[in-house]
Amino acid sequence: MTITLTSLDNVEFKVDKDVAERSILIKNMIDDIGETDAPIPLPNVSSAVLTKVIEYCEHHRHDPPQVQDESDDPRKRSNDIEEWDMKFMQVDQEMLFEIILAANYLDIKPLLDVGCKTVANIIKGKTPEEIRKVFNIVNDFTPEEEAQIKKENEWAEDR
Amino acid sequence: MTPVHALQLPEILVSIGTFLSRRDLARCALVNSSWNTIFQPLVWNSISLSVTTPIPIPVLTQQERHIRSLCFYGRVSGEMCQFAQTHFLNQLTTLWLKKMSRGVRLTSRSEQALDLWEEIARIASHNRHSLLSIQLTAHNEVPLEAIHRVISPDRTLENGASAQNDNAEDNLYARTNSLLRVSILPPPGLTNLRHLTLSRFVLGSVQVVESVLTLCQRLESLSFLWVTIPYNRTTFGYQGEALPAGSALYQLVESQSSSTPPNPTIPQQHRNNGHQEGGGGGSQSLGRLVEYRYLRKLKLFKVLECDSRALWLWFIAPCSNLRQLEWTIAKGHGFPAYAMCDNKKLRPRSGKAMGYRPWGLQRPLEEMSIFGKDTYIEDAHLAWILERNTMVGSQDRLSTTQGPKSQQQRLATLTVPQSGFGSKTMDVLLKYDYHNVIRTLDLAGCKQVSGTMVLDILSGCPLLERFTADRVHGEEVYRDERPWVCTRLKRLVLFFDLGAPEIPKCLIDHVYGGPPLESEHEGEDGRDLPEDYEIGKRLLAIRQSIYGRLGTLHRLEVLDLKRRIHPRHVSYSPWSQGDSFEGRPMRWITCRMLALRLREGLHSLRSLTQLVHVELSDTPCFRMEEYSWKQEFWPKVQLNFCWTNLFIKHTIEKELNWYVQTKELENE
Repeated sequence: MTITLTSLDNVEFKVDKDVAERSILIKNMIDDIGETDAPIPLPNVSSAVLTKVIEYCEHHRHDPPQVQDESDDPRKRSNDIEEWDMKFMQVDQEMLFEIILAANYLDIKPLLDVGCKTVANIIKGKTPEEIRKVFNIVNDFTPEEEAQIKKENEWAEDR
Repeated sequence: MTPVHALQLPEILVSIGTFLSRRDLARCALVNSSWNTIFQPLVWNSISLSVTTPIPIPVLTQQERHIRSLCFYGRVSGEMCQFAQTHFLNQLTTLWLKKMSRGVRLTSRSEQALDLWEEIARIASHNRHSLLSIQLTAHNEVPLEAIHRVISPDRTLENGASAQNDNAEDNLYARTNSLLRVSILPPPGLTNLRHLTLSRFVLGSVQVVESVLTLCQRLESLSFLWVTIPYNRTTFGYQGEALPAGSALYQLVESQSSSTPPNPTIPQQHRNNGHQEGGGGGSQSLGRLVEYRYLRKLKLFKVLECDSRALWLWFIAPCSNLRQLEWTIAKGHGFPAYAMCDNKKLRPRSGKAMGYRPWGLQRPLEEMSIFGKDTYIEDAHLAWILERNTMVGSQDRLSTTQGPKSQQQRLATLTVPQSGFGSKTMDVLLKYDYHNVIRTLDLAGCKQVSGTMVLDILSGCPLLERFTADRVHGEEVYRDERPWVCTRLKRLVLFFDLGAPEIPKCLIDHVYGGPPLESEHEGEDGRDLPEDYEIGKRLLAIRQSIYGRLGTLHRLEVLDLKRRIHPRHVSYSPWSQGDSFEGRPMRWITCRMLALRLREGLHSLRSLTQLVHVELSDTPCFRMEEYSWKQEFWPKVQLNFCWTNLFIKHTIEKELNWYVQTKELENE
């Protein structure tokens, strides 16, 4: 069975049901309204991003459902990204954040994780100034405030 | 409408934060004020206090509100303890104590140790409603009261009086209905606790553990690592191997197994006294229908001085919703597989299994790991357990009519090294569709696993991700025509046995495309050369077919082809029976395992792009062409040659260097 998704710019995408159901949002929608031929509107996602998201879902369509294991220490979560995902995420920054937003909106946890890992890898090892530069963020701290926070977190910095 | 940027959403920043180290988090907290509000709590979310991490108390006080997870490691100053006792109120979710001591090394009996545990108990008590996970690792022997003090803080602070009350209560309910007790017993303990790990503890008796489980009703995962639970007949309910017939306990078990209502007149000494240390008469608990309904993960690793039967009774049997079970028990205590079997045929003849309470498992296990040499399970028992696991699933399906869902929840991990995994279990695996759900299968050291079974698994389990088995013979792989469907395989540990009748090495070279050697060889020992030639050709074909098969496993990350058996061990071969092959004595050519040689078909493995690690035993047969091939197709792969002596290792490295240098020269 196929499902039709409509993007922000009114482009229709036909995808298999199991691919579409990688998104919890869509899965819940289908569960709620039952199987219909009516297209599902996704007003927050542009067609360019939706193409990428569908590409991801098709590649991972047979993956087992993620097991939520809350006992795991979040700090121990690995930063490894599978090779295919790594290639998939080789996009410009704007696209990367759009994919993360879409994954967040559509509730596709593995895609969101891959996106966040990619951003985390960009942040890793950079100084605050470098981080601001990469993501184009304005520093709104006064020098005193900055010194204060730095002093508080001094202990975290050296380990 | 201005589009929202992903970095403006706090939940996304938090999600990114989970992949960052503390140092990076601290830097992110300095980016700007909105990032600071997100990342500052993450920096301080979990802290570890010991004398080596001197966080000044004023700083701690400032950041105190962010701290959710507290870890005491090693020696801790009294100041820190005081701080923790007075500052955290229902905010901690995790409490870790690792080898904690105050100042000096403490012995078990020392009063200081008790003081320390008193302090810990106080911290636990203050955070009673928020704590989700406790992990305790003792430095030395810990008095058994200690654990009680932590788990049931209020109870121990008042001491004697409450215990008496409980006994009275117990008495009452024991007389009315033993089933009711479960809902009545728990005194104010850590009711929210979900995860508990005890490591290197000495517990007075199993009853301590039982009371822990009763106090923490919502416990989801329980791990015991190196915990000593002295097996003591007086503290324990039954004597020796068999239950004395006619005893009240015996009657209880009997009444339960015949599903008649429990005997209403339970003798007084059989009331629950799980909170008395080592007092007699705890036997009543054996018959109690305690159910740890929430416990999903149980790990028993090296539980010392406690026999398997007791562990079964106290830990496993009451867990009706267990999903993951790991059993690694110290020497001499096998997994009580027959306890799981209500099939009479599989029980030991002596009928000693009477005392076992059947497992009221309500849903199928998802993971089962049973390790160790001494925990041998017979084939029939393993088969039975697996078969029963499916029945649990099907009953579940019937009652809740959730067919497809319960299919997914079936056993996906089976780790039974050195067990009796054999044909019966294999039949069950195939019969009940296990091959369509199983992801991890570890059969290392299982002597009954034949090559055919290995091939059945490789060509029948599409979801398999990790597979370990001892060996398969090359000839079997060659003859088997089924494709390997396990394309998700990430880790393969398997020895391809290429044992074959002895043929002259020069002939092998000839088959591989070396110079013809007929004249040199003819008539040496009256051997028929064409026949040998055929064997040599066949050997080559076998190797090529193995490489061809391995080349289809595109997701492979770890490939371990090491020899699992000692070279001196008698080998088996489907080619021959016994020691001879077509009248000629069998000897094994030196290289019995796959060699990484291009002439043998190594090139098929170029498709394994995810490969990280390859393990081989014996001397590698690397030549220049293989070196250059590796440089080209496997630049990142780490090759590890076991059993290679240092000299050979050195030579390989030298040759590799030499090769790289010549390559550079050529390029110039």
